[in-house]
Amino acid sequence: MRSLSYPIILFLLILILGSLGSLFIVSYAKPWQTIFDDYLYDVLSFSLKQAFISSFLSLIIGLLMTRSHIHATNSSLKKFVGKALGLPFILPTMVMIQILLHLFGHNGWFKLPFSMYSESGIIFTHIILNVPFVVFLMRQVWEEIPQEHWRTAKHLGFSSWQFWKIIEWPMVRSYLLHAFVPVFLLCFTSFTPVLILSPTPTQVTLEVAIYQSFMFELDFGNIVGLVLLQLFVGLLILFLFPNLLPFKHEKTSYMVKSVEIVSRAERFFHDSIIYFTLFVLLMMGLALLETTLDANMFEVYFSSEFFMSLIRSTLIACLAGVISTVAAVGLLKCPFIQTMQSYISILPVVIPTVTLGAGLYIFIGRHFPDLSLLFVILINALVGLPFALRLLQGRLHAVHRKYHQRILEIRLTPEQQWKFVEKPLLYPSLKLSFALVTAISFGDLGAIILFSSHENPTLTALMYQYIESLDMQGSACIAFALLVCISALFIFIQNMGGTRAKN
Amino acid sequence: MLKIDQVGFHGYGYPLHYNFEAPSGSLTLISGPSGQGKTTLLSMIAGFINPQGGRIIFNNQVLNNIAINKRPISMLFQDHNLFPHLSVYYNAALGLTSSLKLTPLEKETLEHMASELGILQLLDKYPEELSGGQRQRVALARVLLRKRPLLLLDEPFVGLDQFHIRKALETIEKQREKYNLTILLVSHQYELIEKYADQIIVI
Repeated sequence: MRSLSYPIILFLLILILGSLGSLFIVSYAKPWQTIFDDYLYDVLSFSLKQAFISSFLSLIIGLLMTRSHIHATNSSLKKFVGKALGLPFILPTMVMIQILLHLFGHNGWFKLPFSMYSESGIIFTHIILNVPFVVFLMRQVWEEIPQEHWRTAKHLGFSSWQFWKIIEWPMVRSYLLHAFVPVFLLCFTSFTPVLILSPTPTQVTLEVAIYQSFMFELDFGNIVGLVLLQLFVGLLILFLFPNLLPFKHEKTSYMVKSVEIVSRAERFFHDSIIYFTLFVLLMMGLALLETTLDANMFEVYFSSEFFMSLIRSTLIACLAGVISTVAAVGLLKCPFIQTMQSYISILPVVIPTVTLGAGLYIFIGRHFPDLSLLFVILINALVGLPFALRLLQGRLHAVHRKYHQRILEIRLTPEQQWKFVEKPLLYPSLKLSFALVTAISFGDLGAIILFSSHENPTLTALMYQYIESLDMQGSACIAFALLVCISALFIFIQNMGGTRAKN
Repeated sequence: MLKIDQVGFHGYGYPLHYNFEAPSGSLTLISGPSGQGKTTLLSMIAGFINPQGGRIIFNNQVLNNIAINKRPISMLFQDHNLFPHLSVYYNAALGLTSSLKLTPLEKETLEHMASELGILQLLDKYPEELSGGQRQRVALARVLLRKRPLLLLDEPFVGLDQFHIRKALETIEKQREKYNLTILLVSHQYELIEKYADQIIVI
């Protein structure tokens, strides 16, 4: 696998530098003042404004939920809710939006003081999508509080307020920006929620504007302006906060159960938050089930369109999963990449799917229109690569730490080292990486909609077509199918070659 | 008097049993190899772990069902005793009041204790600026400032040189005599502490 490192790096460099180079060449031919017009200003200000409000509110709500998650008493319920909150990581955004529209849309179960098809609706959706991410990040902060601090607090008889002020807040405060920056970038580069819920052509993010320019005008100058702006803001944030992005999660030492700190009244409040979260999650599940059952499922599921989309989705997702996992292993063999790991892990939000797709299209895609599906696979693999790298890196390090001396002693060649030591020990992580990238690719809308939505749709593109034609029941059927497919794929991949994984 | 009456714990997959007495105002040194349940014993007395059977009695009062902060106990842990974002002054002040608002008399008491433990000049510093030994002395100051009749010290001298161990032991001795403290001290520095101990229990 070591021999693969340099060809993979070379290939990625050609793709990235080629795409960026093409953008600059195209932009050079276009006067800058025509690129940066009022429309671009509107798009940029909307992107920044909604991203700031969404991430700020996500952070506040996420913090509240994390604290409730830590201090609530029912541990089995906490465990269940904790796992259920992980669903948005693998569920396609399209499915989540479908559920939210069913719950809070025009004919939804609950009435909101604003329409879902508005700026507030976009912010609301971003909050729902990102709160689980904040909870995931901030839980690590609480887990870093040493057990002795919990014990000291209980021992010294801290009140809830003192515990928050003296122990929790100083820890939380030092990580607030760590959580805010990735959420801000996710909202800033948001594509699917804004594409579906945006009320006017100017109330869109840069990602959606790139897509609109691509689909309706095919004005390269305009696309280049938007892409460069997107890259500039992403890289600026990365440059301003280079040490903020990855969390250093090392220990899980808190013993909340044995030393409950908070008062009974506060515990009741935290329990209520957990029950409310459970209620929302149940409502979401029921909403999806109800629309699917209401719809004419047979008509949707037995159509050739659905069948072909399903095959296309599976093929694209599985190939992207394989490419990403193989590339990640190859890259991890290169020491230079290991040092760049923290930057690579944030790349999907700095260079999001549509931006990457637009760059690739201008670089090579437009010269090979028949290979559109190949580009979709490639983009999905690239987007999934940082996740695969992150998953495999820790395990590979652990294997090296444990067996490095022995490998040197028995003088294994790199090939033997891979075959007899790394591959068998990494097998469970390889499967997980493949499953995760496959799930992410299965739910992708950005790449497929950019390259090949109408002629060769995947399930998500087909679902978007249903939503565009206001057939919400049809789209619910696809959402349900996506949910089943991703769960099945995940379970199948995880159970694949189980004995070998154990060995 | 502290009485550990047939106290048992099975949480680690093997049984642990404790049965001993420590007279009021005595210093009991608990020693033995790692992993034999010395810290577990202190954690049970402090209330962080519930014993599976037996009674913990102090001055004729059964402690088993008393809340952690209501027990007449002050405990020093092996590590992470100090809050990194609080200065030495405030870390020690927590032994007097968790509100961190000290009266002039409390300030004086704190400074006196800091002087006895040789940390007076460190009061404005933060834990990350201290050596391991200095950190333990600050933690010890907090524990002693709480003035609870039963002191549980879990490896209080880790990182301290012989000079500072003796100094800390003298301070502990002084406090013990002054307030008739009953002390359980877990330590591997057997030779240095032996002469201060009224009884030695090897687990």
